[in-house]
Amino acid sequence: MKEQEPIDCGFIMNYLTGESTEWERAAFERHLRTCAVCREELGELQTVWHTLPFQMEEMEVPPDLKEQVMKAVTKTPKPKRRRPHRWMYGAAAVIVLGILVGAWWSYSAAPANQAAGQLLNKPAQLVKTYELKAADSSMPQASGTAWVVQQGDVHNVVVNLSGLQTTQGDWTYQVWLNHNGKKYNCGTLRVNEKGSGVLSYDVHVKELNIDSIGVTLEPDPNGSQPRGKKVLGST
Amino acid sequence: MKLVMAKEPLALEELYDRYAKLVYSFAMKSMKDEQAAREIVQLVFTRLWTTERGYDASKGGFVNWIITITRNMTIDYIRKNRKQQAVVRYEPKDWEQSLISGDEGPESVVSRKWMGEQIQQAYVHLSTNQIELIELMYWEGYSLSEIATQKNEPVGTIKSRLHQCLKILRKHLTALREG
Repeated sequence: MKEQEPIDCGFIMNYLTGESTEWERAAFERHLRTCAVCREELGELQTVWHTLPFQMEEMEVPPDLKEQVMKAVTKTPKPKRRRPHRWMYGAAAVIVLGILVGAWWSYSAAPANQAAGQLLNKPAQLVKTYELKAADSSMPQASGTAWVVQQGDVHNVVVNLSGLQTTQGDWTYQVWLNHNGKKYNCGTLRVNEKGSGVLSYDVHVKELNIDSIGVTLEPDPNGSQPRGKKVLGST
Repeated sequence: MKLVMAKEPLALEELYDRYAKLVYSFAMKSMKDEQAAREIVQLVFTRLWTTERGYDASKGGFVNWIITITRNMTIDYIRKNRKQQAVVRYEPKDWEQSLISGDEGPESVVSRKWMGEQIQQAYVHLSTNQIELIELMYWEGYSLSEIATQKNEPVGTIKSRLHQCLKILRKHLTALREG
């Protein structure tokens, strides 16, 4: 995830006013853990922030509004929970693999790191599934699935793609998480000779909002914004 | 709130009875338009109805949470009318996590009124420019960078001005500090 500016003490107003992406929030919350000055200041500022609304005058609600709201609201269906399908077993296998790779990675990157130990005893929970469909006429066979798995304070995005053309040279596929019109780099991958590829990517946030997921074909794996054409998309 | 999660109209009605006034008054202060305020009340309660994650109205911080949701929705509404792009604004889904300060938030009408008086008294210490800044930012939903563009000043300056305003208010909200 590319960040425009370093997230440090200077970010406190963005954090307070809520004018921040979840990535920025998570980064600032990491900063808070080590910066006592910001922690104290934020507490003070939040006290004021939560007082500001009470400057308003409390007004009587129009009596007919209640019925209108109750009717409209109860007509709205609640978001449905997905039922498990047979492909979920395959998904589970991929996820387990992803977690093992993730655990190995964090373990080898920081030996005796507490975080790695904590991750191992946190059960992974499948949060959301995205079906990816072909988005470019040059690869109509392309398809894929993306899973978002939550494990403690970490979200793991696992992507399984097939029907893609094998890339040459530096060319690579890149996965993007879209939220509120912004695209966040979710890692790059290449496919095997059969056109299949798998990617696992950790996002260190407690809450992860994704509107859709897209896959592009990029000239190299170094881009922080899409340059090439979109080959797969979840919407 | 557990009942609302179970899609129980009665529980929602209870929430409405307790908080509609707060939501409506907030929207009226921001929008100064009854029709718009009515729509915002509907949006906020729909949001409570459809929320996937649970929350508990009996726990502290619920008032602050519902106000944050109301402010976000009001601002989205204003910005749509102004044909401005939506600002990426953090939606505290996990409301308990989002309350680092541990403020309980005023549950009763009386304590809200008291808080209103406190903030009103603290406002006396702000200059006209400082009050305008809070109006633009808090109630009218302009982003920090939009205010910077309007005022032809760097974003950093606007941020530190706002910071300064809030510090002045904090200093004069003495009753809150002791309480």
